[in-house]
Amino acid sequence: MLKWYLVMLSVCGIMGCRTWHQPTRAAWQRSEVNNASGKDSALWHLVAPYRDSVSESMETVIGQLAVTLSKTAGENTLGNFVADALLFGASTRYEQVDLAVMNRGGYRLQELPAGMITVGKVYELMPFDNLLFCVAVPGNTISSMMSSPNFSQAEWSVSGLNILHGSVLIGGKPFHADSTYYLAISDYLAEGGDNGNSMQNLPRQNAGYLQRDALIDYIKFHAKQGNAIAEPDTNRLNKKQ
Amino acid sequence: MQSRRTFIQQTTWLLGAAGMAPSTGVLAAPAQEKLVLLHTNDVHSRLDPFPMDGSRNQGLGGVAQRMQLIKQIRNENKHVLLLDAGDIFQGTPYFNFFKGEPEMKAMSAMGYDAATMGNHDFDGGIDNFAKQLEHANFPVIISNYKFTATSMQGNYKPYQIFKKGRIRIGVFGLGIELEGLVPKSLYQQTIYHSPQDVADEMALHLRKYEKCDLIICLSHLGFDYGKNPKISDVSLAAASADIDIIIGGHTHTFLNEPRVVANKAGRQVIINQVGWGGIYLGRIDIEFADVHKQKFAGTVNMVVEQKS
Repeated sequence: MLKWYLVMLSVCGIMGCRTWHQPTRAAWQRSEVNNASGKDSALWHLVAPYRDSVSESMETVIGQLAVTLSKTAGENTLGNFVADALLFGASTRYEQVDLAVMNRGGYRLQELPAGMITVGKVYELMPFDNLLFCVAVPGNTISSMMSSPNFSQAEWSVSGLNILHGSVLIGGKPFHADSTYYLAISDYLAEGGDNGNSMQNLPRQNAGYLQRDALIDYIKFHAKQGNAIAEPDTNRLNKKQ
Repeated sequence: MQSRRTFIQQTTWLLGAAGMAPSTGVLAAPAQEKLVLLHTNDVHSRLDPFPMDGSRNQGLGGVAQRMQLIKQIRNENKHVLLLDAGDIFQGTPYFNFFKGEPEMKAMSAMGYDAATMGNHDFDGGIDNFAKQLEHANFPVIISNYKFTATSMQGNYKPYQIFKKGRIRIGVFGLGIELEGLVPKSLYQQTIYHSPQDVADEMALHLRKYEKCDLIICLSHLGFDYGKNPKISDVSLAAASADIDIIIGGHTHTFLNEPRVVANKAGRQVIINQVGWGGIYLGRIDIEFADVHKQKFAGTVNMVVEQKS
């Protein structure tokens, strides 16, 4: 009998026979990962020092706020503070930045209380990992942006642009519809979110810089100067004087 | 010298191969092989469960919790393959603070067999990703990025063969087009090649030359873009040959069950993706039958069903 097997083996050798393992059945299952089956202590302990360090860092105080800022209807102190921070942050990453805008949905606290500002508070204010882009915007696109509901209803906060007695100033200089302006804006808005679709095809720079990091840098900058952050003005789009 | 026992085992294997298992118990054909494929995608630095803040996903996910499930499955099954389809990084302060180190360490401790790269894995820059791989004991498999002039050169595999029992599993990886999605300053000199062309080459190579029984594509292309001509797992599957399973990511798609798509030869491809954030662990148990042929049969469709 053994001899016969060996004959078969040599036949296989000549023919190049091989055993394949043909997949015949696929049984799928999707398991929710939750606490029902407990947690592995080795993994828990592996993450623990990082977890403790993050918690500690979240409690790190990075600056002071002189007054409580609020997200009220219309142009508001919290939105203008965020827009100011974005303009500041963008100016550290891009060669030229003239103005910054921030949409109401992009900052998530109703108020930022006066006093110490922690890293954790900034994460609560800006939980999204949105990038801060710099978009080259033609003046006429700025004009149409200003006449859009985002501006007229103050859904967007702005920094670097003021309307004074009906005249528009950008960076303190009169606005020209035929000039190009450099706008600091989230990747979300620049990609057309929040009906910002007039910007989708405009040239942009992306430094890989998060909006949240711009806020942190802005707050730290003031702290380094020894200043508590003051209440921003709220008459940028309707300046009387 | 070859022991009698070894000789019997080998003879048994060959007899099984020849489809002529004798009736004696001693020389019975070996049992069918079974592979348990486990997978995640777009975990996005979610090392801990989602916080208990009233949100939809509160309390779900977490690496320590995922490990508990994986351990249990490994205890019950001999051959387990654990894969991730990319976007390991970005999404919690863990990444902002540690740039991916705890994510890599956790995946290594969980015994991941391989992962591919997602666009967010470039978020700390390509040099950072290469550096964080020092904390990983699993290969990064990516077939359509060429990293020649970058720090990833020598730090990735275009494909890898896994041997589980008698089964040879070929795994290759596909990354999404980076231009317009990831700043060039982050991906640097990485060169992107057409996923479809690379997939065809890879699958053919793995089947014909590497003699793989099962071919898995780890993809970060995205599940399905409908009429948009952008390549997706669904369009890739339909135009492919020889890919058995696509484990996908990028679009954070919560599939209630895998999507089965016919490839260009009419043979089915199984596509699966499990949302994001480590909320789910995907699982596909694959059974294999011995086929004795010169070439891979390649014509038999798997029975795809919910695990009972």
